[in-house]
Amino acid sequence: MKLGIRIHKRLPNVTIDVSFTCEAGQILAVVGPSGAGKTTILRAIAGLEQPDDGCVVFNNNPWFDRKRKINVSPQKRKVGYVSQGYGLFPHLSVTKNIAFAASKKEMTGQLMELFKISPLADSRPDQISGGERQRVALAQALATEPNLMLLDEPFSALDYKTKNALRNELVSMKNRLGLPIIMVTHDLDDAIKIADQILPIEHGVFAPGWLPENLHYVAASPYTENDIIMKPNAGSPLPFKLPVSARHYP
Amino acid sequence: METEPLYLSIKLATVGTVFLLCLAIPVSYCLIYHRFRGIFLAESIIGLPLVLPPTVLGFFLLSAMGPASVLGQIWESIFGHPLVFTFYGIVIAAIIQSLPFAVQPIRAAFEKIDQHLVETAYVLGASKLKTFYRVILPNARSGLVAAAILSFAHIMGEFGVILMVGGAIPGETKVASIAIYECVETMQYQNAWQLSFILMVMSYLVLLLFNYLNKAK
Repeated sequence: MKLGIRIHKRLPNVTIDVSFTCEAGQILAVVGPSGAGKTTILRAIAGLEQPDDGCVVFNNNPWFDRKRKINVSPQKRKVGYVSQGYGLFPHLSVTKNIAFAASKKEMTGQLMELFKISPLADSRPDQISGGERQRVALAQALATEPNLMLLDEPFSALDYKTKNALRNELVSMKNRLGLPIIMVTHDLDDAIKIADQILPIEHGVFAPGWLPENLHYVAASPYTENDIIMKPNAGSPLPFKLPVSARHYP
Repeated sequence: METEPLYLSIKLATVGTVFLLCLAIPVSYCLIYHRFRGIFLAESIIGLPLVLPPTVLGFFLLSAMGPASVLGQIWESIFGHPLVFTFYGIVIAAIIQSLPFAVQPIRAAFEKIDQHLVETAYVLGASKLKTFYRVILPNARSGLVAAAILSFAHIMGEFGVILMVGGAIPGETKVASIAIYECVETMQYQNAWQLSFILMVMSYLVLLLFNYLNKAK
């Protein structure tokens, strides 16, 4: 499973122009400051936003192609999307929130067990903590048996302990599910700790300069070559273990 | 005291409110989720009864539903009796006159719904219909209740339009507000007082319920 996107979208304050691929079992982190256009990228992949130009291709199936006038509806893309506000339905209990999306009946119980949220079954989203809401949102997104996962600032507004626990959960989820996972965050630390690839963006475009200097970055040419390889410096203070790359698509 | 006009008023308000909700929900949905060119024209037509004198609206409806009109003739050929000066005629008139009172709160409730919830439902695979029934309607509950209460109260107090379209046929179109007018005209003040008092208490209770539900939100 592989997602490839090339998006051009003009917004009132920024023009987004990015391209990348993400393969199954990988976490790609789109990192950048607020207003860089990160959320719009996720929304375009989910089908909630239509780019002015470009394409979104999953497993060689075009979900969006401006030139060929293809635009698959969000319902048919089968994307697990956890938005910044978690998007849980306030009038439904935790169980019903997950069951709303479940493609199979037994899946609701299994996911609640998996994310350890069974004790919250009858609670409504406003009666549970931020970390619990996040887990419910992940379970809800997975209930559709998605083709890929999109996570918008998944760790914002969480305390340090909950954040760490969820980071670990996400990494184990990545290994278990083998789905492409695209996460946007303004926190580079989150990206470095769990992502396999990092795509730094600022003002809507690839911006390696946004990364700290001590994170050594080797790039042939970000816009003409296909691969951008980023490696940590020897002795880098950052807990950076995996080679991180951001690819251009196609 | 005549109780028939009161019974008729309650019957008219109940039937009218049910039909109004059935009409106002899709109209409000279209106004919010299917924004089209010239939407302000549709909005202005729906809001027209708010500014039009009831006698003017009543006269138009009388002309549009009368035996010589297309609608009146179709009705008569199907049901065998005219549409005007019947209970059905005043139900239609009450629905048209009260439509803005039902549309406004429902529309406001739809507008207040977080669009992220609707988008989440779409991404989770829900169709537009499922999203409407499972996400939009439950989250617009307070607006629906407000619309029902306001419509009921407004139809209960309807006078001009109903008099024009229905006249004052006892047991058929003579609702409480028209009965009070007749009582005053024939100087039956005691009856007028009794009916007016009951209508006032009912209106107060409806408003009380409306405000209570608004506070409880």
